[in-house]
Amino acid sequence: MVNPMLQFLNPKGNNLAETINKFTSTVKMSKNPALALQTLMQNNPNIQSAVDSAQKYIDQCGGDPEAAFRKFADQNGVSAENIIQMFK
Amino acid sequence: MNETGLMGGGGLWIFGLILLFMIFGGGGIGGYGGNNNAIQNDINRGFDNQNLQAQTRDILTAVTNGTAQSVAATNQTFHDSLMANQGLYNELARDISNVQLAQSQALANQNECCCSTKMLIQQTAADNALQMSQMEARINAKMDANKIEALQAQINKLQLQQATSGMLRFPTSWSYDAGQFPPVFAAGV
Repeated sequence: MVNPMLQFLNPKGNNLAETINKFTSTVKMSKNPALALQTLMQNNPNIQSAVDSAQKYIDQCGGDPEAAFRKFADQNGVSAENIIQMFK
Repeated sequence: MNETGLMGGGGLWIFGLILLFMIFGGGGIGGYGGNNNAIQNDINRGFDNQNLQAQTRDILTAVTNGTAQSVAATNQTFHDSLMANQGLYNELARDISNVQLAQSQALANQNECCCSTKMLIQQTAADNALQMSQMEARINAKMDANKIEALQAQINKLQLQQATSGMLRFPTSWSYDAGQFPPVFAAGV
């Protein structure tokens, strides 16, 4: 099992870390979020499963994206604020 | 997926949630899956580290930009100083050229004046020489004339003496008890 921490610290040759970096960079730079997501999915087919999972989770949480995000982060012991900072 | 208001009305949260699903996989819902064994603190530190790296990149970019601006400003200042110095040098060169021109003109004027002075001195010397010569000639002429007059007077005197030699002389004035007139001549007188 690959440690995600090591993936973050050593993005070279690591598809997940590279994908996350591209993901955050594209979201930060994009002026058109819908187009940014479409582009990300085209360039990173694996994201599609994450998008589908996220949408299902949001639906399960009553359709509130923020509540779903914070709940999932809390369930997995991840600081939601850290992720928010990444997009700023 | 509902993309309405993706960033403004919850889009940020959707992206965040997608990112989390990319990492954790959502408990088998999809994505990468199988990362639930990850150490959560390490993951958080990973986010922090990435934030720090981003901040470091921002700082480095700012420093780079600042350095570039500083270098550009320094170059501009150097260029401005160089141009200013060049302008001053050009102005100084023009001033020196003007001074040299004025000096050359002054020297030419001085030479001309010197030449004129020399010519005037020569002319004056020539005039003086001529006047001196003429004066000598007049003096000589006058002296000759006086000499001739003196000789002529001497000649006249001698001629008169010769003409009156042996003639009876009468006094030209009378004095008391001058004796009888005509005087009695002694023999041989």
